[in-house]
Amino acid sequence: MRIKSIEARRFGALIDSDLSGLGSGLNVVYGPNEAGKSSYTALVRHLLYGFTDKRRAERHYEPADGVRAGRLEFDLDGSLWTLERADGKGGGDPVVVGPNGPSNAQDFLSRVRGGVSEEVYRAVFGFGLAELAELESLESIHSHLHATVAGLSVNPRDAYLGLEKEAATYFKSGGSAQPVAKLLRELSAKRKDIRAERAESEGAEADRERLRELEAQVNRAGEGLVGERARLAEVEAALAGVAQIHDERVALERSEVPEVQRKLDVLRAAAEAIVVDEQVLARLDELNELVARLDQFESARTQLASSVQRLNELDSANAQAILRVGEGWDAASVAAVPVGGQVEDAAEQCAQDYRRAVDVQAEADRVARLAREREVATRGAAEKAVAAIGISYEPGVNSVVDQRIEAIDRLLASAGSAARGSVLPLILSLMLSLAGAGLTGWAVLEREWPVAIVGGAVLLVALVLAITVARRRHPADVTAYLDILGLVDVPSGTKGLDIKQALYVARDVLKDDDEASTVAVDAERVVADARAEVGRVEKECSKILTPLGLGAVAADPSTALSILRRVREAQGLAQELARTANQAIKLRAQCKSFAHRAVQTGVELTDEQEFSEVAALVRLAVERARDSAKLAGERNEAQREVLVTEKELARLSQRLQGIGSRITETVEGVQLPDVRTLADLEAIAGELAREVERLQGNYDEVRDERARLAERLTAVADDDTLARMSLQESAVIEQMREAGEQYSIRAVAAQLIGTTLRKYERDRQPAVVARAASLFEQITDGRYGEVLSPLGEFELTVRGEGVPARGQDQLSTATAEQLYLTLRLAYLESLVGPESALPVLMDDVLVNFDEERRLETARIIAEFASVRQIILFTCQESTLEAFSKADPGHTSLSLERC
Amino acid sequence: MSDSVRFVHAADLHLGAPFKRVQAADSRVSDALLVAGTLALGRIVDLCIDRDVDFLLLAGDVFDSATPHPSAQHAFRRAMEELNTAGIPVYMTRGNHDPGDGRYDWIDLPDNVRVFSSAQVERVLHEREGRASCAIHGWSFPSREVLDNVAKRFRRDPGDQIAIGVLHANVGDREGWDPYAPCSVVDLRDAGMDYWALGHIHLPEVVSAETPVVVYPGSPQGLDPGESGEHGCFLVEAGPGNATAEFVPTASVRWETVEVDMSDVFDAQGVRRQIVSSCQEIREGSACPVILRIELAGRTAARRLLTGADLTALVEDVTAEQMERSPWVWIDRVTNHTRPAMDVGALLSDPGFVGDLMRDVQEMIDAGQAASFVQEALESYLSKVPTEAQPDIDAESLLIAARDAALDLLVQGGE
Repeated sequence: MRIKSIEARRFGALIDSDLSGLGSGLNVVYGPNEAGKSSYTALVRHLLYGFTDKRRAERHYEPADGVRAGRLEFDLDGSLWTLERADGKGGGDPVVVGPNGPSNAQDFLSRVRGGVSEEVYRAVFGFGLAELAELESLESIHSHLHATVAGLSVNPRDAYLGLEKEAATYFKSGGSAQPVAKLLRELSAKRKDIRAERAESEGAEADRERLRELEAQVNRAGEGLVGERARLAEVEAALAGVAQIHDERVALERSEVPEVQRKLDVLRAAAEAIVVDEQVLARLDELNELVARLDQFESARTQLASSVQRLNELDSANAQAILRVGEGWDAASVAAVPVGGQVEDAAEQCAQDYRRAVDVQAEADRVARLAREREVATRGAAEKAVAAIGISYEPGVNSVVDQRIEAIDRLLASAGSAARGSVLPLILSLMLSLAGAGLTGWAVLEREWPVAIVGGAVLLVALVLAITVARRRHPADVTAYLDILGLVDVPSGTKGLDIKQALYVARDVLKDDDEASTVAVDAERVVADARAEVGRVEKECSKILTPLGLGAVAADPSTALSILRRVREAQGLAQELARTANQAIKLRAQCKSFAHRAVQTGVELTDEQEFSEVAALVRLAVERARDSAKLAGERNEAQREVLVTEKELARLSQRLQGIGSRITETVEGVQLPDVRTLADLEAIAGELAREVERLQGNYDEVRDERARLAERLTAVADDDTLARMSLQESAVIEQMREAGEQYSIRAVAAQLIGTTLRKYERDRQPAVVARAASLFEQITDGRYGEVLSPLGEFELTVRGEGVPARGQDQLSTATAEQLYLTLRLAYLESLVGPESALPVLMDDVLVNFDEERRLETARIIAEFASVRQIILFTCQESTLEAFSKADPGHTSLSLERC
Repeated sequence: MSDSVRFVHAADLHLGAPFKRVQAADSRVSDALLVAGTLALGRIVDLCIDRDVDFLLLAGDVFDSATPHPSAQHAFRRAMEELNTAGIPVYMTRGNHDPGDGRYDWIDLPDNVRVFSSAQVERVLHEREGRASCAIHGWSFPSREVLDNVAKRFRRDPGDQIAIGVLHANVGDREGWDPYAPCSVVDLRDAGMDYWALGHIHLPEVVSAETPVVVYPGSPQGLDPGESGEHGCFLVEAGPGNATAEFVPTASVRWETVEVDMSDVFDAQGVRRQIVSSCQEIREGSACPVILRIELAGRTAARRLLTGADLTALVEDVTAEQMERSPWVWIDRVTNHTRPAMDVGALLSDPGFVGDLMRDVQEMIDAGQAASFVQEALESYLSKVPTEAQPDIDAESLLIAARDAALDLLVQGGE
């Protein structure tokens, strides 16, 4: 890779300047002060990495006007490439043109830069005396070189120390003020509290177990207490039982038995004193049955009396009804009339039909009379009307009038037509005929046959026309019309109209006359029909009423209907009379039956006694029977009480016999050992009472303890102290985790940097430093043969044969610069990647060197230039001379002062 | 048996469990956490009563310990008594956290609670109106560590019209969960149940929607930041050969972890804006208060703003503001997982020191030496701090974070 030219469009003091003709290998560019040597060196970096941000603390080479811009030409594998850049956003966009035209700038730059960062470039590939001068101590040189060669902006050692310091703010071994240590103490305290609380909680569990035991104890004690109480109660009951049995025996012997015996004697006497009429008593059920039917008997008797009274009333009413039917009617004839709704409905229908037929006949008579009156009136008018036109009224007069009307109409029409006609058409037709004849004659004479034909045709047409016109002017039938009308001449207009009007009037009157005749005939026919209907109805009624015995009044169906209704009334009364008589017979039979039953039951009745006395006699008999029954009941009760009392006396005797053995059984029933007597029982009762008292005390004590424990457990159940403590513990642990994470990241980062640094020093620095030492020895002509860099330290020490080791403060400025330069060259030499091809620009770095060391340094640089392009700027002719000696074939260029 | 039964399936209440990995410095947060477990249980009870279920199934780890604290036991008993009053039976198993070998017995539970035996799989007939409505097969952990395939002991009885299995187990060898009572979905299917009421995994999941329906209800209340998202129980309608399960949330506090991208953030205002925006988004997606962990991510030039006191002050300020909103959001922790704003991969080919450092880290990771390196670097710290209080970060991640911290200093100069 070779930079062929550097062109500055605008960069610092450089305006449209360029440095061209640069060759591969060593290029020494001479230029006085203000020729732009530093600017060209910086411009290459800016073009490769972008124009610097103005916020960065360095020189930016701002032009007086316009923006920074420049261009580089590269020879890359024999091809020409250009890189242009103008200041802009992000350092300005690079524009790259290759042998085939525009190309991807980033790809090109990556290839050219070979992964070298800008920082590295500044330190190693494009530096001047200013950069060397910034390195004021060996330590800083060394560190800076470490940092910059590694692409770093800070010293790894500083980073390492900074991280360790930061880590120590979180945790420090043996420290007590750091957060982790504080949190550890806090965690320990929390856990102690939690353990105490848990112990208390477990105490609560123990309490709960104890509570369960107490529950069991309470239950056992309760059960024991209940058992002992039951035993005590049993013994006490036994004691009480014995005493009660003794008292019972005394009571029996002295009181109860004698008293029952006395009661028995009294009862026996009373039972014997009661006498009962057994005969009467035997009929008591029958009498009771009779009494149960007594109301029924009384009801029948009352109804019988009512029926008899009603019979009398009906008999009288029936006789009156038969009389109302009419003369000649008696009970038998009335009863013979058939009964039933159909007969009456037929008679009713008959009467209605007769009334309707009579009404229709009357209406027909009225209508016929009116028709006849109208016929007479219209006949007179018609006779007058035909007489007015000279016609006599006789059959066929209507057609005569119609014939005359037609004649007058036609006559009047013919007269009008003749009046409207003219003789002109007739004359013209005749003239045309003459012309035709003349033409035909001339043509025949002249033998002009076609004209003769035409003339003949004209003649023929004219003759037809003349005949037609003549016929229309003289109609042939006018005369006939005049004959019909009996006229001689055609009447004038007014007269003709009068005749016509008279004829029309006559026709209308004749029409009315015809219609009146027709109506009169029709009315007569209706009257005949109505009379026939009346006759038919009369016959029908006769058929219906005669079988009912009403033939005599069949001609008057209404009267017949009235008689029929009265017959019905009489028949109804006769039927009710029969029903009432039957009812009275039945009631009387019932009463007699009851009286007969009463006699059979023992009631003293005679045939003469009325039914009204029966009830009282029956009641009296029943009363007597019931008295006997009551006495019988009293006697039975007395006998039952005697039996009961006898049993009671026997039971008391048995009790007296059993009381002795019961006392023994009661004592033995307690089932306690060694308890045979009442005294034993009393002794054991005392012991049991004392045991019950002791058990009660135990029970109360256990129950109280249980209550206290339950209360404590309830308090524990609602206590969230442990949960709160656990939450606080969690918070402390989380804080520890956070602090621990912060610490861990920093501590591990510091360890990481330290480890890498140690490796870096071990693997790389020795070779770099050894090469730097070799170069330094060459430049100093063997004065300093060693450059030392102790592992893990960042200081360089130089030493030579006979020269003691010297640190940074013991070296002169020029010697230090020589050392810095050799370190750079050694680092450059250690690079083996694509970055090794990147050209190196040095800006007057040999200015402070003495002649010998300058020459030797020039030789070393010339040697480096054999594998890469080096562009060295200088303002000293001595430096030019040194390079001329070191590499006579180098490219020499010069710059003018800007 | 009846055609179908309705029941609530819950598990892993872990009553009495301390909430871990949280800094509940605010009393509102600590108070909410202290009652969260009991509240979730109360919501389950309310659901049972409101929906008039036939019974409640609890598939293990009702308590966090075989010998739970009395307060946890009393809270549970009160809830069970409430169900007893409502006439709702409870069938429960013991899980690996509350096995049957505790030092003390649990306090007496009301008669409606049936705890399945540890000796063998029990078959209990649930009766409704005096008639068996379904068969519930269950088994309890006798001790904490059970590594047998217990699911194979379950078998549907020919007389079971509806069969339900209740088991606390790790189905499908799920990583991150104890491998207790391990089994497969095939094992569960072979048992012939209509519904498997599982417990053990704390995140709700319908393992199989086909018959048999297999469900992990998850913990009704998330117990730590790892149990993010909704937590609750399942309301199940099961019939012969079919079952439907509907998730019902019960948690009163929600855990969430959100990653916040800091790629486009350059200053403190941007950091605050991003964090506040994340809090707002989380609040809008939750019906209950949220304990939030924020992981800052992305390549950003603002990494130096995301550490130390500056970040702590900013987070405290935002948290105070978020706690005043409803529902409140408590920012429990902000973790900086951002990466330097540089092409870290490209640095691997850097010829200088940074390249060496990058390659050293990569070589350590490739050679599996990250842990030993970290162990050596933190030897003093690790020997002092108990394990549970040490950072929850693996060696490789720590090494990467440390590398990035070094790059921040070395390349960007700690700007």
